[in-house]
Amino acid sequence: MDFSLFLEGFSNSLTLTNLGFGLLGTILGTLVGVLPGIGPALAISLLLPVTLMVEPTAALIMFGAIYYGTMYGGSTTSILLNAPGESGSVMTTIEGNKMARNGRASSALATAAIGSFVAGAIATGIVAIAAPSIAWIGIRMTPADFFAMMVLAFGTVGAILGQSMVRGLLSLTFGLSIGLIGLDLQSGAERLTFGIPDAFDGVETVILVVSLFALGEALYVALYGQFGKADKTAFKGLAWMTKSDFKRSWGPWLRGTAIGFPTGVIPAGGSELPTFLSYALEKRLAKKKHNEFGHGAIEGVAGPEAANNANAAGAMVPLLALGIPTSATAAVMLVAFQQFDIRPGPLLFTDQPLLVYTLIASLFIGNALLLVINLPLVGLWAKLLSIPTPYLYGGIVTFAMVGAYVLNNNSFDLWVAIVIGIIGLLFRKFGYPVTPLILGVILGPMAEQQFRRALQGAAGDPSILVSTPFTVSIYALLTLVLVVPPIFRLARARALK
Amino acid sequence: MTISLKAAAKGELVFTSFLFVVAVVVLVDTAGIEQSNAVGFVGPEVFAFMVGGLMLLLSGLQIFAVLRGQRGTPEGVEGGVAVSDPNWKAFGVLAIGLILYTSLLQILGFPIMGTVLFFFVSMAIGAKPNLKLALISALVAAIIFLTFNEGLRLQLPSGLDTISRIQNPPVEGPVQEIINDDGVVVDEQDGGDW
Repeated sequence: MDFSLFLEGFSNSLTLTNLGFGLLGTILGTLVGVLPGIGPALAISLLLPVTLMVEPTAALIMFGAIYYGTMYGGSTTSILLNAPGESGSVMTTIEGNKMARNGRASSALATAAIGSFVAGAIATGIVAIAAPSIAWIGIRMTPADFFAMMVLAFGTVGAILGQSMVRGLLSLTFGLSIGLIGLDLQSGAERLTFGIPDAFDGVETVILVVSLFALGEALYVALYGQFGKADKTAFKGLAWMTKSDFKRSWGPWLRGTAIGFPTGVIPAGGSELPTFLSYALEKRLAKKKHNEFGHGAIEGVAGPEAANNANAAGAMVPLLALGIPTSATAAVMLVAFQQFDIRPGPLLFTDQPLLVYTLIASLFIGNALLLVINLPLVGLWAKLLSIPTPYLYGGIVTFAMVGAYVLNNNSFDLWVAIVIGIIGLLFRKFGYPVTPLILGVILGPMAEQQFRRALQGAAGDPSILVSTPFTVSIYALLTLVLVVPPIFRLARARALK
Repeated sequence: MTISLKAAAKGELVFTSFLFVVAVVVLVDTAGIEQSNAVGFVGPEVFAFMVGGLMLLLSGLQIFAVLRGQRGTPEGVEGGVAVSDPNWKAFGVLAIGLILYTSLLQILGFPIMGTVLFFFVSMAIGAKPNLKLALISALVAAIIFLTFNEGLRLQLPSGLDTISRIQNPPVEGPVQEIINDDGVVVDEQDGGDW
């Protein structure tokens, strides 16, 4: 790592205007993340139009802040509302909501916030050190190697998420099919456009994410949802914790970070696995002394929350250094970068090193602002949870339909959004995961490009795809990944009993 | 109970078949790509065939799994419960709101259509359709409109140009006669988007 560049990146980000945007990002990110039904991927997509008019450095900082803000907002919802917004928060909910019910919401929120900060700071530090060396490897990787990495990401996300492997992989192929829509860049051939000129550019990713999550969820809830008395824990005041809470939290924070970061760097299907591993580890370690697990153990919040955040930061390594997103959130971040003509990948480190370090500095700043803002303001966020559910959905859908429109000022995009919303509804109804679909749409065209490049270089000989030791070991790893999840599922079912 | 289970299985079978049909469409569309000799060894059809083929295989497998009784568990509803009886009325209200918004946004503008959309969505999720909801809807639409058009300089349609067009209609004297001869001309504008 070039330390002077790193410092320059910091001084780049630390102007008053940029800090202002960072602050705005933190507030918006937390605000949107707190709202039930909005996970990090959707929150970033919803906020993307807001950053369109901001200049790149400020926008990067805003994204760094939004990225961590939405994540933290999600954990507030899990703790106070007993509703995990996404798979990474499921483990936090188990002990966190019990703590809230026992009147310890303040400690739970504080350990989540501070744990997220500690994990975020350590992990971002490792990103700053590790990403350049991985980019160095990235420059030496062949198209076949890249293709193998992407297939690994497809396989892990498709196989780990969802109720069965076939469902996950079907969702993935559906996404890959959507990714085919439009003009083929190399040959100009039309694929799946059915002669509609509006379809030549393919499906806009932001519209896809927004309608899959926001419209799909609203349609699903209208059709099959029923709301009784809300199961909310009221909360006022500050998030703070006592000395003994601290003593019990720092171990889980560090262990959570250690589990979360590496599982973010390798494509392991998002934050489901690391948060579960952290929870299971803390549960086992706690048995020796006072064991509060099942009644609201702070270790069960501190560990998974740190793991979740470290995982999110770890996902920045393959995203920045190789240009490969390994989770839905990272995929949406990639789209956000592309809006500003920033193309993550090994070349970014050699061509625009300052930009990379500005981004990493932005993540640090966003992470720090989050802690400063949220410890005192968490009571305010909690108030958002008292917005009546119908208004909440009204606002989410309206904002989603604004976002879908302003990208191109085109009504055609809104019709596309409605169709994708209905697909989202059906995916929910029949138990299909949506993350593989999103990854398929975003990563699919990139994978095809590498695939064609590889074959082009080998005069069409398909054996090029397994020609390097790297590709062979990646495919071996993939085979392992396809075999392990069923065992993992079984273990989790037993641990939760 | 058995009836609703059967209905659910039928619905899932239809959905799985839909995925199968998508795979077939991908393959058929790919087969129809005109070959150009400028693309070298790997044309635009190779990857598309792989995707379509894999999807065909998986959806075929899944159809068998569903027929054998392996059904998906519906996702939960945050802050509520998922029920198996569909509420078509609520769904219809939401769908009407979305369709109205999409077809009229560019004509009537966001302040009006944003209000309509918020109103219909909230109503579909359970708010009572009364004056209070209408006021809240108008307020939300106004805030979003001002934030985007003033704060972010992203232009949402205001609907004002439609109003001015109604107040000062373009001179249409001679056009009247043309329409009498050839009424189809008028429709051309609507069809243009497609």
